[in-house]
Amino acid sequence: MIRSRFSLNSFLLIVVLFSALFLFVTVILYDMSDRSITNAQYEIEDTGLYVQYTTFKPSGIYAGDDYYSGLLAEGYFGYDWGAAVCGDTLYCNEYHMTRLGFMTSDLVRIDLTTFTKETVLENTMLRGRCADGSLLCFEGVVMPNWFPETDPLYRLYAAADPELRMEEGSAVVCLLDPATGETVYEVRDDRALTDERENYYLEHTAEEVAG
Amino acid sequence: MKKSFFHKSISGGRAYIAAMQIAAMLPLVYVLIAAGSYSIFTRENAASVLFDLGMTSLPVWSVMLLSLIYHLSLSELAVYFALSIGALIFGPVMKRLLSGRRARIVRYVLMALIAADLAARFLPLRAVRVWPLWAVIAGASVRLACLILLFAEGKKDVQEHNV
Repeated sequence: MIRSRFSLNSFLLIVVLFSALFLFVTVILYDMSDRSITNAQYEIEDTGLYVQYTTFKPSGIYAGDDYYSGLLAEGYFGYDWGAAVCGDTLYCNEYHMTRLGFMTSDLVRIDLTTFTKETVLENTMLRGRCADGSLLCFEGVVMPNWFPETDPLYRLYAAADPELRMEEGSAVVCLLDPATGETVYEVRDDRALTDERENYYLEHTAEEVAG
Repeated sequence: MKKSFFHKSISGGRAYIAAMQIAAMLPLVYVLIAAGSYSIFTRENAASVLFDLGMTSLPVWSVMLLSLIYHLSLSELAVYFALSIGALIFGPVMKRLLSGRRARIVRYVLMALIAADLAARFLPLRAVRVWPLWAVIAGASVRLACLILLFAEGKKDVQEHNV
C-alpha cells in the first residue's frame, strides 16, 4: 500500500507554482494586453523642451513636442509645479513606480547643456517656487493618493529607509536655493501635504517661513 | 498504539520550521490580492493584518533584506518570490540540520539567534517601528514561543542523553 504524506513543503511548492502562474496572468499578460495609449507633452516653463509621457517611445525630456523630437533625458519627470528652471539647470521630480503599489519621487538636477542628471534629494517632491524663488520641496513622502497609511507594502518599503515618513500628510519641508541647490531652511511639518500649508509656503519667502 | 492527530507531540524544531514557513506565507495573500485588485490599498483589511503578522513573525534581519530587495527591484513580485522560495528552501534545509549529527549545536545557535532577534525588537530599529504595535507584540510572541519550544526540546534531549 502506498502511503503519501502531504507536507507543508509540498503545499508551499504548489502555492509557488500556481501563484507564479496567477501573477503572470494578472500582472504580465494584463500589462501586455492593455491597449490604452498615452501620448502627452508638457512644456517645461519657456525652454522649448517638453516632458513627454508616451507609450510609443521612452518617456522623458524631448527637444520638442512632435514625434520626431530627440530624446534628451529618459525617465518619468515632473512638469508644471514639478519642474523649475534656473539658468542652465532644471530641477524636477523623477518618479519611480513600483510594480503594484505606489509612486515615489526623487528631486533631480539636470544640466540643460549636457543633459546629465544628478539626484539632489531622494524621496523628495518638488512642489513649486516660493515667493522669493526658492524651491519648495517635501522630503520623505510618497504621493498622498497612494495610501501609505493603509498599505502594508509601503511599511515594508519604508523599513529600509529611515527618511520615509509613516504619517500621511507629514513631510520634512525643505526650501532650496536654486542657484546652488543647497537647503536654506528645513522644518518638519505634520500637515505639510495639505493645501493650506502648501499655499502658505508658496506665498511666503524663506526668511518669512524661517522667522 | 498509534496516536491520533490531536495526541501527537510536535518537536520544538519542527514547530519552529512550520511557524517560520507559515509566517513567510502570510504576506503572500496580500500581494496576490493586490495583483488583481487595486482597491485593497485603500483600507486596512484581513489580508493586511496577515501581512503585518507574517512580517513581524519573521526575523528582523530578513525583513530588512526583503525591504532592500524591494528598494532595488521596485517590484512586489520580487518580494513575493523571495519570500516564497525562501520558505521553500528553509523547510528542508532546517529539517536536515535539526535532525543531523549536529542537531544540538544547531538548536543552540537557533536559540541564540532567536533571543538576539527578540532583544533587537526593543531597539528603535526602523524594521520594527514601521509595523503596528499589535503586530510587533504578536510577532514577538510567535518567536518567543518558538524559543521556548526549542529550549524544551533541548532540555528533553539532554535528559534523554544523560539517562
